[in-house]
Amino acid sequence: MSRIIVITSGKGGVGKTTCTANLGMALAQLGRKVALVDADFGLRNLDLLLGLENRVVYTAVEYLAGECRLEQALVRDKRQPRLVLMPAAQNRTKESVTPDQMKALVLTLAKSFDYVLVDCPAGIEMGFRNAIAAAREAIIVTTPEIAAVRDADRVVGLLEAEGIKNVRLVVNRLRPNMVQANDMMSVDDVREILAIPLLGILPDDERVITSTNRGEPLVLSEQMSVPKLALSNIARRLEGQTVEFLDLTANHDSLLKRFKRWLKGGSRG
Amino acid sequence: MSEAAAFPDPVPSTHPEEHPEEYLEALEELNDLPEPAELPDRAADWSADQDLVAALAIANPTQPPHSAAAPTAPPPPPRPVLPPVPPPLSPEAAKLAIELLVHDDRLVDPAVLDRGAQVTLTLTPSATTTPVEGSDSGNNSAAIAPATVLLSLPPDRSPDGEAVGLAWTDLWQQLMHRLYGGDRGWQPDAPVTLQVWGRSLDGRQLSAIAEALQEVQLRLDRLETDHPATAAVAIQGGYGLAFVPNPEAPAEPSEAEAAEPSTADCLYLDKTLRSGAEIRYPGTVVIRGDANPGSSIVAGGDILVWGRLCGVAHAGVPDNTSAIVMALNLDTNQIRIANRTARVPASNLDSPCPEVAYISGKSIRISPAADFAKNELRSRLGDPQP
Repeated sequence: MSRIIVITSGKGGVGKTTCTANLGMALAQLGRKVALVDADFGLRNLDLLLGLENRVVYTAVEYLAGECRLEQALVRDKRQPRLVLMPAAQNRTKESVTPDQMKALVLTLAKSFDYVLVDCPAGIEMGFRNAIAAAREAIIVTTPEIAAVRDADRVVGLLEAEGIKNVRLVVNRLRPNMVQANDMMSVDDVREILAIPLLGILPDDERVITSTNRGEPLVLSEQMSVPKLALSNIARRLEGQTVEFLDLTANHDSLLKRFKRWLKGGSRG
Repeated sequence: MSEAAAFPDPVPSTHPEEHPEEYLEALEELNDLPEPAELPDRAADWSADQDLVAALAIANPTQPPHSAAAPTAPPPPPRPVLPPVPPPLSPEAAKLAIELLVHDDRLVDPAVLDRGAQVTLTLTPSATTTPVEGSDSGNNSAAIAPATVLLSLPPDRSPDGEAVGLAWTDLWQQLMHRLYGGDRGWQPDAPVTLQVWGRSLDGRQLSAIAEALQEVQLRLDRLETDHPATAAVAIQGGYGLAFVPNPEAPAEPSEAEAAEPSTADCLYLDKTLRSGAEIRYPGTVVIRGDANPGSSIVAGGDILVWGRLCGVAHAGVPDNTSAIVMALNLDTNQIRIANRTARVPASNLDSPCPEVAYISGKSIRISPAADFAKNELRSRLGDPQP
């Protein structure tokens, strides 16, 4: 049984597409066959982040219109043969596809892949409806900001109403030093409001921006880094493995402080 | 337990014809309102219906002309501000004004005008139910037919054909709230009568509803509608049908229910209210979970949140001043009781304790639950202070 997961957030710019690209790549590295579906018609980005822009010939719209075969529209990644991308059309709007069409497309992909990850556009309108049409699970990406958390909360409510009960949380762009200075919401604050299981915590890191601009997902890089490890851990948790959460505060304080925190009961992140 | 389809708009009970002075005062007070920060009392949600205010201004000749200017109360979403000179009365507003002056108890037809029209689930003693004596006398299993559940969807257009009310997606969310959130009073495999007045359903929507009902062990059995297309869909689906091409019919039960004491029953919701969720109920609302920021609860009776209350809570709608709002952690920034509104100051308590908001004198007060129990309850019961 393949898993259909929608990656959504409500608010824009919190890192949905980056997460989708990296998680897809990480899952493929774990030996799974992964299809990424860009549901952001009219504002497609996923191909850029994967560095596959110049290889997009047909898009989901052409496939749905019957102008090409499924294999023609799917873009295979050379670096990672187990990963394919179904690109969105850039010259259309979100209303050009219906939830039923999206559902049919995703279910077709689900027949031949272990994972189908759907990259949801921001907002809760038609694009969102399309993206969640076939999903059985959801990953909510949020940043530790009140606006992002509020929107995420709304989206969780909408997902529940659509019968998607398996919803998990990724807190992105956490700055441990700001959390320690009480200038940023902590992961626990976010969890308290959203009340959904935590899937992973990603630190705010410049390397993510660099890799995005280069079109090379971070998990592909040779060099080990904290965000790379955090992303691979998320993929392993998706696979059902139990992986400890990283202690992101480690770099930022002294041994004494860590010891004190450990005495107090060891909060993470 | 039953939930009234009609839910009166939060308007003061004072009728303009009976007490014109008081009424004028209320309106003028409203116009003088500055920022919400300085509001001790505020006629709740008057501004929500500009047409109504305008209509009233014209219907009442003693009204100074400036009162027609729209009061710009901040909490509801911004609405177009009416010009100071009253415009010619729109037919709808005129109808409203007349209704307002003629009917005492039903100021506004909430089913049509209230944006917060609700999906309602009512458990009714079914006509096909075998008398209870049958079960007493021995053969218990087959004798009792499960009671019919009445599911009523709010209209999405007024009788004049104008689009109002909930879109399908919002309606769906509310339906899910009601099916999964509350206590399930129904028996397994109970038949459901779906009432759809002033709204058309297509085949997909109807089958989605039927599937959703099936998941909570309910069986869609019958459809009552005034819409020909919906009726046709019901026939295709093979459901029982009552086609009443008369839009006035559904007003009857709502009026009857509105006449009942509003605090008669209680809605339990066993879930977290997330941003965007809106609960409206004529009785008391109990939430076992949090009410997150961006959610809203409007109740005719009290509001109890066994968790953290961060959303907007409006108890005692429209005029029950003895209603209270209780929460384990009262973390909201605005509380409304009857026609009063209060901004809640940031808590200065180190650790949150259960708190109660109630009307004392002219304004809303918030006390720790322990103190409330000691002082306020005692004085309400008429006991002398120790």
